[in-house]
Amino acid sequence: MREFGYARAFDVAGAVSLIGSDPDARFLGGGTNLVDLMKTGAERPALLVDLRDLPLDRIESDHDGGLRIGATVTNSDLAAHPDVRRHYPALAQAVLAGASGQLRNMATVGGNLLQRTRCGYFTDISRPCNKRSPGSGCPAISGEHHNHAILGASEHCIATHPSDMAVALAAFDAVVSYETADGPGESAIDGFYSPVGETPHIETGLPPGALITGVTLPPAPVAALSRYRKVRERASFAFAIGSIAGALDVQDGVVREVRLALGAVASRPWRARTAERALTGGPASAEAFAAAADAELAAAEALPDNGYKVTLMRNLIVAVLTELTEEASR
Amino acid sequence: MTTTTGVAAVTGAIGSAHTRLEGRDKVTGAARYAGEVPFAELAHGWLVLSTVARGRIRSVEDGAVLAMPGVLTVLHHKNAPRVDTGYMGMLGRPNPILGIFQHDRVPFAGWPVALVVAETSEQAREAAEALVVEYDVEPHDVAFHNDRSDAYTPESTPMVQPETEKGTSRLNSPPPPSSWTRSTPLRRSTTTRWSRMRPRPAGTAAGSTSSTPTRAAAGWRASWRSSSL
Repeated sequence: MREFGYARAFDVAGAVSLIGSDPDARFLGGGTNLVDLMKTGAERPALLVDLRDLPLDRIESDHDGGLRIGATVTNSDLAAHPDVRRHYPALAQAVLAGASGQLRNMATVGGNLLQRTRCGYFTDISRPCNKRSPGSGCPAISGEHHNHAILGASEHCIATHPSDMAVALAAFDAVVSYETADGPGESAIDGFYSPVGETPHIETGLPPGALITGVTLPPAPVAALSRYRKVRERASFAFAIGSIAGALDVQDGVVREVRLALGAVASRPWRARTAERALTGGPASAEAFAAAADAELAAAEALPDNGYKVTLMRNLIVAVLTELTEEASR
Repeated sequence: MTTTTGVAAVTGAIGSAHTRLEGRDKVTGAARYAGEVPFAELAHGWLVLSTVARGRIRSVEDGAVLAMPGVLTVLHHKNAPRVDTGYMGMLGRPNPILGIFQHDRVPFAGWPVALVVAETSEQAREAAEALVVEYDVEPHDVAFHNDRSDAYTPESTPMVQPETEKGTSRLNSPPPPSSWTRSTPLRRSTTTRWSRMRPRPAGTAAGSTSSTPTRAAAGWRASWRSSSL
């Protein structure tokens, strides 16, 4: 492991100043991903700026029902917050579906958004990887890819984003706030993650040196009836092979509003807007749910070993919408 | 300090709570792993594992590594003590291929190809990651496919009777067509080498060598008294 410098920031301006414009410096949240990558050599930072002492560990409820979540709020605190559980239950469920209790006590919201793919070729520095080493190639396409992307990937990279939390945030139109030396900025989560294209090593549109300060959830009454469902290869402490955050407002058998976001299928949380459009204003029926799922997944491109995900995601969409419809009628 | 868990039964070991003498040390992180027990003049080893799945070791370029701080020796197939595999064991004769540092054959990815021994664990790891090994790479074949022609039903297996009913798997279902090519292979040239710190040596044909930086040493270490070397 490369020797590295370590500094602790006590306020946002100090953190931004410490990181400066050094491309080899990294912010350290809970360290549950970055430190692992430093051990394999996939990350070799020269400087870590520890954010644990920043005053960004609060969740504030807006009077209109929205939430402002600080960047250093831990997964555990996020999932346990009464307003998260009441107004955005799929978010609490998503966070609790991830990692383990110990990891959730350490991991932070900001770090969660920026965690790296668990593609085995990315973490193994003896392999080529266009994300880690641009232009070196993508062994996953002809190699081990049973848990790789079926949507929005490119011939340069088929890695998925591993976050559960971000899938729920995508369904609820979260806005990511950040601070830079030139002042603050924000990005809707829809545009936060960059398309893969020919630049899989560029994962977000964050300016260099930017510090994520928090996430705002706008009021979303539809989110009160929401759920997160995660399919994985063992019952706990595993990344998803497919997941979904769904929210539904159905009255008299008609879909008034629906939110759907899919996880473990793309380089980013995949907001299923095609399916949402197909469903809105139509009947809340199994046939309509299946047709909407098919419309969303028409764009799917599978490889020899991940074609099962198309079927899996179709069934997940239908199942979660069916469950939410039944719950709404109670 | 000791802590008793549960309510002690009146008599007897069965059914009564017992205090684990080492319990507090373990839950507070004070307990030592075997590798953390200090010894005088202890040497530390770090394994260098193959980064190719199948092939032969062409060379282990240990010269530069031996000059690194604290490095005592680099063991590999050219210099390690010979191991006797000519005996009959409980399960038959040992497979000589599985003798570590006994031959140049790489039977699988992660096969130990060298052991770097140094005065500290950190020095051993640093040197292990700098060690350059060249391989003659051979193609490997590890994927299950339902349509492969060489699949067969074993007549017998040791110890247990196999279930030989042919099933189906998700690999049976052909995926939808993909618009991009699937032809980006793992580097599979005749020779592969890895090096983090050193440039390609002079005289190596560029066409037959791919330079693949790698984690040279996966997380495995050994410690023993240097006097035993």
